[in-house]
Amino acid sequence: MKVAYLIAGVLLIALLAGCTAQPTSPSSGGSSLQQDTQTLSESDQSFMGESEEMEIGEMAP
Amino acid sequence: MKKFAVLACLLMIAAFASFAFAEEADISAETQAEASAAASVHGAQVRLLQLEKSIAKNIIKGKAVVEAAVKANASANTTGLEATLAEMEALKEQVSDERKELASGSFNSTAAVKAFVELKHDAIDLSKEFRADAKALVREQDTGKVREAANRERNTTEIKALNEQIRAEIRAYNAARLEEILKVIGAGNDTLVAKVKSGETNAGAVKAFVAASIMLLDSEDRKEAVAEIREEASKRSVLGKAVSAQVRARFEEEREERQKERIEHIEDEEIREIVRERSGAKAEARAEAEARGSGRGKVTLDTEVTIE
Repeated sequence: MKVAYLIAGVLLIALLAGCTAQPTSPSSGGSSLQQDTQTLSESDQSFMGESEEMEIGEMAP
Repeated sequence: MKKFAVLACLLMIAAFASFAFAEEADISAETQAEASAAASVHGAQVRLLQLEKSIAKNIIKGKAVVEAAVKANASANTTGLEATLAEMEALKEQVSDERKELASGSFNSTAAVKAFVELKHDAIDLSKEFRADAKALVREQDTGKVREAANRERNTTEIKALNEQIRAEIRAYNAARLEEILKVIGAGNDTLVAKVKSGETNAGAVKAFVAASIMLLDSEDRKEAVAEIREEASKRSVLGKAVSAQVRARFEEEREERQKERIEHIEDEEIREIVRERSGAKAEARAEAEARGSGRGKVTLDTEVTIE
């Protein structure tokens, strides 16, 4: 009986995990808002900040 | 699927370029990332102006080092340091000329990225050379004082003027980039573009606006817009890496040409002659080292990459 409850519990957890993962899964063909925003912020590094400095190395030993 | 294949190809080229650098890792990942921005008109201006400013700041620091060396030992031979500083002054002029030339002619992204990577590499080499020569002349206890002296002088008229130009070009670059992205999203906002140009809003606010505009799109349009923006960013990144690899492959051949041109700009005849002699000796040493290594690990990537 305990084994049956254990199996049912594992299956339930797996089912819940599957349902939660589905909307953001790449294989689903869909695209979540969160995923797209994340992708955009990762890929778009092209705006420049005004305080950027360029390093060419120290002169003092 | 097609876009994914293109992206995969671009990533493979980038991976190849990274592998090529692993053989002779002279052009840093930081320079390659900076080079990506130099692929646009205003981006090239920003990068070359930032380089000019860094060289100007290092010249100020270098002069403080020479002063400290003389203070520590009045009979110290600082000719070598002064020769390197003279070459750095000439390099600064070279950067400025290159920037003006890029601004006046029809813009070529590959040429702009190449010029930036080469000149930055020259600046790093000269700074390294100066630091190595200074080691024998400056006492360790004076190093802190040298930095303090250099920091006091960092707000020269020249640096201030360069800061102003950099700020203006960064704003123009961000405004142009925003216009491109808004076109992809299909959400024009002339007011925001004007605010970016005038400096009334910053990069963070612009990024937030772009993200908010994308959220308003429906799922399919959003996916397309994100893919297009991402693809464009990848293209720039690949261009930076590929051109850096080309520069590395031909660096030794072209370095001498740049140096010869630079030396002619040195006004002091005596210093010019010293720089010329040192340059000849260094070229010989490099040729010998290359002969010994028989070109091991030489990068042969020769791809013309452009961004429209």
